[in-house]
Amino acid sequence: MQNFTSIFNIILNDVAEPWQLGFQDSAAPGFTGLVTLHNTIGFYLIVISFSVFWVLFSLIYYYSNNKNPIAHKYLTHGTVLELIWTITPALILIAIAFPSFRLLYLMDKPGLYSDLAITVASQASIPVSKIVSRSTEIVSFGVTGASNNIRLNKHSRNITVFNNEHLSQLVGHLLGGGSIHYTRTSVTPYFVFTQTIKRFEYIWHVYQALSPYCGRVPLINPGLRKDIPYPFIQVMTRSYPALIPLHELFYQVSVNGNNYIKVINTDLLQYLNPISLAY
Amino acid sequence: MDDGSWTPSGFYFHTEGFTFKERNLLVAMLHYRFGLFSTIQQHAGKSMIKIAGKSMPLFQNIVTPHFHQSMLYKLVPK
Repeated sequence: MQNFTSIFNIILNDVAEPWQLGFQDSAAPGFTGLVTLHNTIGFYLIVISFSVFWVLFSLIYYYSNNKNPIAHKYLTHGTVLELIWTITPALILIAIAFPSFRLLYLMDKPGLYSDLAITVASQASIPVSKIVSRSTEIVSFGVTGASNNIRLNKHSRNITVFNNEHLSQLVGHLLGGGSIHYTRTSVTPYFVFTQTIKRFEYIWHVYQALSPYCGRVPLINPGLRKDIPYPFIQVMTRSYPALIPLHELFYQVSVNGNNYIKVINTDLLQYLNPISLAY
Repeated sequence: MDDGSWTPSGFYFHTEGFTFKERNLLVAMLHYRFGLFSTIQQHAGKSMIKIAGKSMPLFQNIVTPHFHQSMLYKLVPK
């Protein structure tokens, strides 16, 4: 029984094994993209194979010599049917082509798939005595600003971590104009920072600091406060699982249980540092 | 920088969103972590945390390196 149930609880360790089905876990965003494309095309593959083989076997079965001894020359002549089976493959090809182009060109240019992960440039073997620390070759993603308007897949968001400076900055914002929310359908929260447009310079500084995590440029909102225009700007990050601990630190379900309210508790102490105090 | 403001007597944190108990906790943490003395004050019905005047030099030392250029006026008034 143990053996039988264990096939439903496969743990995918990142090693190759004999007779392996499927891919190993991807180590780079480019390969994640390839796997996603593979899955997308796999969907069409299954749909097409199923319908083609279904039609094929139906024809063989229903129009065999035993069941249908007389061949009707004009029986299956239909213009509409022919139009459908000419145009449908074209549409399917387009549906496959677009994700494919997207991946192709994203992998081509510097941006999401080339500097998303922290990468270390490979180099030929050199004598140990000549190894120098080359910290500039470690690149955190988003330095090119290329992650704007690009939807990151779940895997890329799952492997994202916030470094200490960013974490401290977020804590500082959370004590002031920042907040963490869940959208109604999402299971991972996003961070949003709101500030009046008068302090644009400061907002832009905040945006630049957090831009690797932002999917878009700050939004301008023509807000009203007591009927007086009060335009404000919002810096919004993507939703990241790494934000869940911060949400748990700062938010508590309200008394009526409908929403979250911001609270201070003693666990905040470990996040307090000069940076969080300054923001 | 978000919700702070400068007055001649000290630096204010606008903490209206929190309860009295939470503000108290914040004051305690400011002292525990940074050695800053601060008080809770009521101004026009709004309750804020004020860094005490004697702690202002320390406060400025702590946060100035991390302050954005455009917000320095809150620390060092012209």
